[in-house]
Amino acid sequence: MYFKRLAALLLAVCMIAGSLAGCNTASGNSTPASSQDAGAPATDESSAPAEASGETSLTGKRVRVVIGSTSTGGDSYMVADMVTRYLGAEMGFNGKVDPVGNAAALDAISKAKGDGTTIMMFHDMTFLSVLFGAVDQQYALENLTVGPRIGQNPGGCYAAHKDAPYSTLAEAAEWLKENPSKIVRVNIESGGVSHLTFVAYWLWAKDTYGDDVAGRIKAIVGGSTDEKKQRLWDGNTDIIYGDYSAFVEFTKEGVDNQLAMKIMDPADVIEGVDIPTMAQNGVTFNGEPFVFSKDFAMYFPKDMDQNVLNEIAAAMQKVAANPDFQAEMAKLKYKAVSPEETELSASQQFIFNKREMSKSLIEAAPSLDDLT
Amino acid sequence: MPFAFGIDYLAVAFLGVVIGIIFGAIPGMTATMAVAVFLPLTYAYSMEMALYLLLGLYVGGISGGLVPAILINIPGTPSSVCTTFDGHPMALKGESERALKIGITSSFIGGMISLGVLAVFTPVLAGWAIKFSAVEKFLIILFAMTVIAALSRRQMLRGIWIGMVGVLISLMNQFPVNNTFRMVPKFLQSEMQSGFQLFPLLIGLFAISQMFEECETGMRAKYTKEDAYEVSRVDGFKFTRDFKGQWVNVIRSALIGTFVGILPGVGGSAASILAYSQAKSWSKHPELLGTGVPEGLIASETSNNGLTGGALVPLLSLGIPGDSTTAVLIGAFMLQGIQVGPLFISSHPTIWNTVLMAMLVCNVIMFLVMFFPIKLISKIIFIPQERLYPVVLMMCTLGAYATLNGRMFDVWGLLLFGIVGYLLKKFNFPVSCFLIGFILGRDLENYFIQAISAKSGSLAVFFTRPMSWIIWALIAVSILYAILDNRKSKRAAN
Amino acid sequence: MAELLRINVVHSTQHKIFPTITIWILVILGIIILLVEGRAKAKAGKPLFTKPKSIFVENYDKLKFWGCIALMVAYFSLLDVIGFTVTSILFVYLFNTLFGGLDRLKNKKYHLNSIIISLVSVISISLLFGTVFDITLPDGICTIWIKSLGITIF
Repeated sequence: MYFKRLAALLLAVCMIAGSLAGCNTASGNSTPASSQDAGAPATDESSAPAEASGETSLTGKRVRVVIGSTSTGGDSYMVADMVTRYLGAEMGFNGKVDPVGNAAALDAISKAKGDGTTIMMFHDMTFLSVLFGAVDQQYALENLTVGPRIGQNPGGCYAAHKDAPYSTLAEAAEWLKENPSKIVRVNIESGGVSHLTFVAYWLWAKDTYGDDVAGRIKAIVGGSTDEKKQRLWDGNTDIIYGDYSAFVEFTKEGVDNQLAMKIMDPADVIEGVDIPTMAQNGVTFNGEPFVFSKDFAMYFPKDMDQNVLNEIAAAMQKVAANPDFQAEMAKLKYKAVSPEETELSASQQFIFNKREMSKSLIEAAPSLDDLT
Repeated sequence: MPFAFGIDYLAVAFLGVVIGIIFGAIPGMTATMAVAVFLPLTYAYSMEMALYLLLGLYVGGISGGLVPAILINIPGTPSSVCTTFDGHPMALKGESERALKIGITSSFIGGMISLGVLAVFTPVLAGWAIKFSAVEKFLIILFAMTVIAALSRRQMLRGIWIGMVGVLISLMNQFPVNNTFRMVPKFLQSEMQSGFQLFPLLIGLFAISQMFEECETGMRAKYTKEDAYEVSRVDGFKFTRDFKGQWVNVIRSALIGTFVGILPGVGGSAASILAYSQAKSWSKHPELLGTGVPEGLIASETSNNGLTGGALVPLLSLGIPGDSTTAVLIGAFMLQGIQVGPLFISSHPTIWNTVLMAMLVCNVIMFLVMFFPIKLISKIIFIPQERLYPVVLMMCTLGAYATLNGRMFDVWGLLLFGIVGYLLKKFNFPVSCFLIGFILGRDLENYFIQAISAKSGSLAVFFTRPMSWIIWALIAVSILYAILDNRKSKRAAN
Repeated sequence: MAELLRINVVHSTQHKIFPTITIWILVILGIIILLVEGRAKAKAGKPLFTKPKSIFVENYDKLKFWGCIALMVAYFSLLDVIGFTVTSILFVYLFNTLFGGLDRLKNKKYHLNSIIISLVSVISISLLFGTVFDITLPDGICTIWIKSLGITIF
């Protein structure tokens, strides 16, 4: 008896929630894809991705987008969310982003059906985690299908305390040369992009300044971005690595002196940000100026249906050309890829090349046991 | 007005609180899940509207957990674990309505006190919070672990032992600093990158093992309608009587919850555990806690709602989340293109004021929505167990699957830990100690390694900072108390 | 003294440090517990290790207990194969029947109630969380897809 009442209550709430959720979408499903907001004063966003242009094999279906991070506040989630919204509007599907984590995402996409209802969107960690040995060899790119590229985050950079005696990584090496008793500690995460950029810097410093200076550049491994900031404030490290957006607030005027930071050496050019990059500061690898952005792409199971893949790639090209999409990406300081770059074979070539470059960097690098 | 307010905002807050309570009250769902589910939807809303919704979900979710904790001995969210210790025994005595009302009132008071702290002290607290380095955070978690000693009266050695087993189990994962597995067999490596998850473990240890025990004894109803009517007439809820003499408890628990929330990186369930243990240490009748007295219930519920305001302090003043749910909230700000950081309050005063207003509104709505339908809600206890458990199992299965957004491994975890919990009880080990060891284990290791690696592995680092001496003193007092209390109760038993 | 209190933290092996400490504590404490409890038992005149009769209570309900475990294993194994909604409807019904007991097996009204409960509870939860809130649920062969509404019911 009481159970039936409880169930009726649940159903009623379900209906209310459903209708309320429904009134801010144009197509009656539960992803927001339209510009009509029920009773909510909209902000100045131009949030109008175009309506689905024709039937595709994914129209009306639910697509699960897995990402390799477990956080909903990071760049992986933001990029995936944006792309899913626009792609969903373009192809007519109902997409859901699930932040499941690195190994779980690789596992989910390896075992998924090849019909396009599961997509993995993630950055270079997809293959870096295999190269570094953090996940099993079975998840190497050879056992997946690489899909179109979807965006770039050039915002990985280094930061130090505002009062530090150097303003770029190169200056840090100079300072070490002039102060033979000092060391510089750099907080990075092992197995990721920070590890790669740090290794590139270290190898360049060794070539340019010699073994002694390089020997006094120490790596401190581990911690989330918040924990790294805490380390910097506690004086347990001198330089930390993270995303530009995580640090920019601390560089502004008016921040308490203990917390104030300065940003150094982004690994690639960030739109609208005037700080010289690693390459512009002279860091090179294999003779070439060293540039590294986090490149996001879609990944699919090995036996992916070629037709669906082509449809998705074509839709992605349309999304990339969409000025609203480009504007949204730029707002968060991400770089949208051009329709040419997102073309399927160009993307696949790019990702494989990047993997080769990363592989040679990892092979040249000393082990972290020696660097710490 | 310097903040966003109006009928539409109130409606959204109401929706958020109600849905949050449902998520919190269903043993398969948690407050964090509720906020994460609605996060992408807030893209279409303005920042202020999104705040009313998400904060409503947060407050409702944390409070909703007390309903199943009291009525069916299954915590609805991890922060309601300690509510089961006293809430359910009260329900079994026929005082379910009273327990629910006390719980809801405590939640409201806790939320309001932490809101007051948030509103008035944020700038000061922020500066103070970052002075806590890894050393102090390790010691605070160690202090929280001494509660194991307090909770295992007469069985102190066993309690500590099984607590350390809990710690060991939490370390069966891939150590995030060097990405190496330990204690994990090869074939499970892709599943156990982040180890066992709290939710399947918690529900398995409490709910599933309980289900097994009931199966063993034939699922006989413990409680009938006749018992209830007798009691409710005489012993209903009365604010003055139930809260009399509890004010120190209330304020202490709320402040503990707020404090734990302010500290970034110290987990949320630790708040109610710490508050409960302090309530027990300082109580005039410590032996009564755990048998069904308002004191324990008040401590647990005041602190877990106290967490809500506290966790917003570091989020809005430093951009660093105070607990896992506020970590999801960062995404809401990012979706709107707003950066949270040290200049947030001064550069977005309207949003800051809206946060305060929204918290106030949501706490009030939570109280009203939960308090008045109590009679209806408390009837759940009459549902026969053979009808209730299958549905609860189904909901927990869903919740376990959704813990990391869709994995069967966590569902099997339910079964595994159900068996573990069942065996622990059979072999006379206190299950709650195992749980606490598990909850605190990873953070304990994380801060330990961070602290010693900063000083080349020297263990002296734990004794050199002045702030840490205070915490060592607290730890010493707590252990001393637990030992004395243990001896006293052993003597009393003999 | 300072040297004694030093742990060598090497990057590639630091994942073993804390588990090792924990295991040592467990071993030492374990020995202490055996000693303490052994001494208490010796004082009370009981032998140190008694062969346990059975961990179960007297006359425990074998059918319900082992049936419960068996059904849980079956339920979890089939979730990913058949899909959440259908599997759950089936198993909530089966659990209701199991817990009702042998004496209610013949009772038609009990079965009818079980069916209603399983249908109503599973469908409402599945719709509410899987469809409205869009939470990923186990999907399998019985997942229903309604193209015109764009809804998938797991």
